[in-house]
Order: sequence, then structure tokens, then C-alpha cells
Amino acid sequence: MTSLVPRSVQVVWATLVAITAVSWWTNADSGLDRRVAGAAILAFAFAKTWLVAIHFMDLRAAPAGLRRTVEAILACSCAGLIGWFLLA
Amino acid sequence: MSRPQTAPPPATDADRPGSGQVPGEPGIWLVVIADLVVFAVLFGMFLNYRAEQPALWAASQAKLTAGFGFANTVILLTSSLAVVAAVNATRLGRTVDAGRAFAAAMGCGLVFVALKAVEWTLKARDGVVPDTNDFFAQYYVFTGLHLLHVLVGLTALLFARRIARAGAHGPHDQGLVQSAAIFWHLVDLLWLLLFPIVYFVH
Amino acid sequence: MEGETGRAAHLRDVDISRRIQVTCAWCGVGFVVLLFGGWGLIGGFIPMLPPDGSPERIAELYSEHADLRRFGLILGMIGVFLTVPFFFAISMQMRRAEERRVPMLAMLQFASGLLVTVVLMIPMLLFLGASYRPERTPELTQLVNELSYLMLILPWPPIIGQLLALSIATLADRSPRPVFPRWSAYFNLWVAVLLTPASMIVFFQSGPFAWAGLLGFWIPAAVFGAWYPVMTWLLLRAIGEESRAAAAAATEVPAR
Repeated sequence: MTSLVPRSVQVVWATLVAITAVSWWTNADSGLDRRVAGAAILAFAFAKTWLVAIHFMDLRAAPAGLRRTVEAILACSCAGLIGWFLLA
Repeated sequence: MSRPQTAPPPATDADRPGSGQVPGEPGIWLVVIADLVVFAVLFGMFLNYRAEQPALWAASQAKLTAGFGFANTVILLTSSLAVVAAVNATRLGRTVDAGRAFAAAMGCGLVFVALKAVEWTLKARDGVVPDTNDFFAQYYVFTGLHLLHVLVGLTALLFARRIARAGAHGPHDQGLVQSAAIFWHLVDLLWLLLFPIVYFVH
Repeated sequence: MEGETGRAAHLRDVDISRRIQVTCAWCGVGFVVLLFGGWGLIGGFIPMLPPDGSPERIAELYSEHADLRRFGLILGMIGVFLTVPFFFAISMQMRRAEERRVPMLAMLQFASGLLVTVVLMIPMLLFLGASYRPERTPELTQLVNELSYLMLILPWPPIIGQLLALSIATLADRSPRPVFPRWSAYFNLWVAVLLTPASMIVFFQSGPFAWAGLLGFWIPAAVFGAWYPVMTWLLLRAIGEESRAAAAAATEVPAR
């Protein structure tokens, strides 16, 4: 069954689990400034969604226009929310 | 209307060029894009309320059990992995494998629903309900809206499994199976945003 | 001669059928304009009367520009009726996709649609009732106002009936020239999911989930309002296609 999952997707899965675990544990007692921590959480969350979009949703093999549209929406949402978080 | 590919591409890690076919049916991307925009607006609203009551946000988030959120993240990611396997098996005509992989993904989805029910019940037993404060109203509504996506996704996977087990002949069937898979990945993707934002950002 | 007239009559029927359907299709846009323009802007119900407003405040709002409110509500009432021809036009086109089977989905769409018309028509009348005598005991005006808003925004299940029937019919349409494009099925399903948060308005009297809030009203209202013009456009395409095919058939095959 594992042969049905491309190696790159397996690596992406492990990376996503690792990022989630690390950000959970570090968040528990990080000495980071609240604003830095919040912005970092948002940035990491959007990085994870990009991995899902490219590797799970198979956008890497999709027409460039579709891929760029989704990437642009993710990037704009990420920038918008981080900016909103820092300014508001 | 463009149709998804019929030729079974290798399930191995081929670096396919970025000029290929649209995965799934074009219509499903309309759903993905529109949903991403709506959730971005909702998260913006959430952060706006946080800015008005930062102390309440921090105190309320401390009452959440992040372990549930973490477990559910791993469960959804694993289910996405199973869905990738199911789609590739469908492409290659390995109907039995496809059926098993879809069943595994749906099993993960059901565990997600069960964990969410336990989490909500425990919170409600501690007297934390949507009426408690602005934070918990949004916590319940956002996780509830996501849970609704999970249930819709499970229904889509159920149909995809039936089509895949029947052989998924032709571009029409392949397109439907891939579209259901993409929706399930969207459910996963939204949770990857929702969990950190609702549980941690304060 | 006899054959020519029969053919001309057939072509005329095809054209009349097209024009009737086109009119019905435009009723969808008419509904949105009259509901949001009449009830919403002229009637002054958008922005919403505050769900957490005191009875006195609500009664006071009803007594301001009372005649304008009543006029806007009558426009809204007319608009709501326009959903009937519109929903019927949708079902008549869906029927083409169900040619070889019992047209269950077309029937389900129209029957659910009629229920939608009813739960939109009644709040228009209730709003009119509330605005009829604003000087009455304020609590009564508040009650009628609440019933009206809840009935207007909340009842999404019949809409889901319409949207599911339409999506299933579209997804199951395997003809090379489907009646409605396949992407519209996904659009309909997405609209269905985003209407459901309107349920929250019964739990909240303030904030984003109340009937004046982002998720309680604005998002469901925006997707609901967008659905009608999109469907009008798709209907016009489908009706044009049907009438072209019918006209071609009429000229090819001798009448009788």
C-alpha cells in the first residue's frame, strides 16, 4: 500500500507532523514575545497549507495558472492575517 | 469543459511538469478558492476580536486542551495520506486497494468526529459553552463549521469509494474521485489553519 | 403549403417557449434586486435593526420613515413572488437532464423552492404587520420584528433541498452538452454549506453570529444573493441551447 504514496508525499506528511508537534511543544513554554510568537504561528500554519496544496492536492502537476492562483490566495491571506494581527 | 486525465501516470515520485491537467474537476477548485477566502475573512474577524480582548483570549485559550487539536491534526494528515494512496490506486485500476485506502481515510475522519465530540463534551461539562464569552462562541462556531466540512467530506469519500470500487471507468468517474479527494485535502488544510489560530494565537 | 405552415407554427412555438423561459430566468435577478433593494435599502432593514435592541428602540425605529418602510416591504413582497417563475424555469431545464428517468430531482427542486418562497413571503407580511401600528406596546413590535428576521434568514433546509437536487442532477448529467456546466454543481454545494451558519442566529443576540453579524447574515446573504444572478446566467445559456436544438429539429424534420 505504501507504494501507492509517492516518497515526496511521505516526506511531506512527516514534515507536517513534525512542524505541528514542535510548534505545540515550543508554544507551551516559549519565552518568545507574544507578537513574535503569534506571527510565527501564523506563518508556520500557512507554510503547512502550502505543502498540503502542492503535494496532497497535486497542484505541482497542475496548470501553472491554477497553482499560482491558489498560492496567491494563501500568500495574501497569510500576509493579511499577520499584518492584521500585528497592527490590530 | 476540460476533463481530468485518463492515462495512469506513475505513482512514483516523478517530477511532473507544471503544465499538466487540472487535478479533479475544475469546479472543485472553485469550492477550494471560495472556501479559502471565506475562512481567511473569518480568521481576520477572530483576530480582530482577539485584539479587543487580549486578556480574555489568553485566559480562554489556556482552558483549551491542545492535545485534542494535535491528535486531530495527525489524524487528518494521515487520512490525507490514505486519500492520496486511494486516488493513485484508482488511477492504476487497483480497485481493492482503492477501496481499502478510502475506508482507512474515512476511519480517520470518524475518529476525528469522535474526538471532537469528546472534546466538546468535556468542555461543556466544565461549564464552557458558546455563551461563556466571545472567545468560546467563536471556538464552537469555527470548530463546528469545520466539523460540518468534515461530515460533507466523509459523504464525498463514501461516494468516491463506491465509484472507485466499481472500477472508476473513464474520465468522468476519475474526475469525481479526484474531486472528492481534493475536498478532503481542503478539510485537512483548513484544520491546519484553524488549530494553531484558535488554540494558540493570542 | 400545409407542411410549411405547420413548420412555421412549430418554429413560432419554439420561440414563444424560449421567450417565456427567458422572462422567468430574469425573475431571479428581479427577486434579488427587489428583496435587497426594496426590503433592505428602501425598507431600511439593511443594515439590520439591532437584534439586542430594547423594545422601545425597535418600536422607535419602526415609527421612523414608516411609509418608506411599508413601500420597500411591498417591493420585497413582489420580489419574493418572482422566485416562483424562476424556480420553475430551473426545474424545466433540469427536466431536460432527466429526460430518460422520472424527473424526481426537478420536482424536488421546485417543491423545495415553493417552500422557500413561502418562508420569504411570510416575513415580508410580518414586517408589514410590525410597521402597521408602531405606536402599539413596544414588546409586541419587538416580537414581530424578531419573528420576521428569524423567518427570513434562518430556514435554510428547503434551500438545501433545491441545491442538492440541482447539484445531483448536474453531476449525473453525462451528456456531451450538459444542461448546466459541471462546475455549477460544485458552486451549488458550496452555497449550501455556507448557508447553514445562519442557524446560529437563534443562539446569539449580538456579535458576528447574530442576525446582524458577519456569519449570521452577511456571508449567507452574500452567497444566497449571488446564487440567483449566477443561475439566471446559466439558465439563459441552457434555454438558448434548448431553443436552438428545437429550432434545428423543427426545420430538419418535416412537420406531421
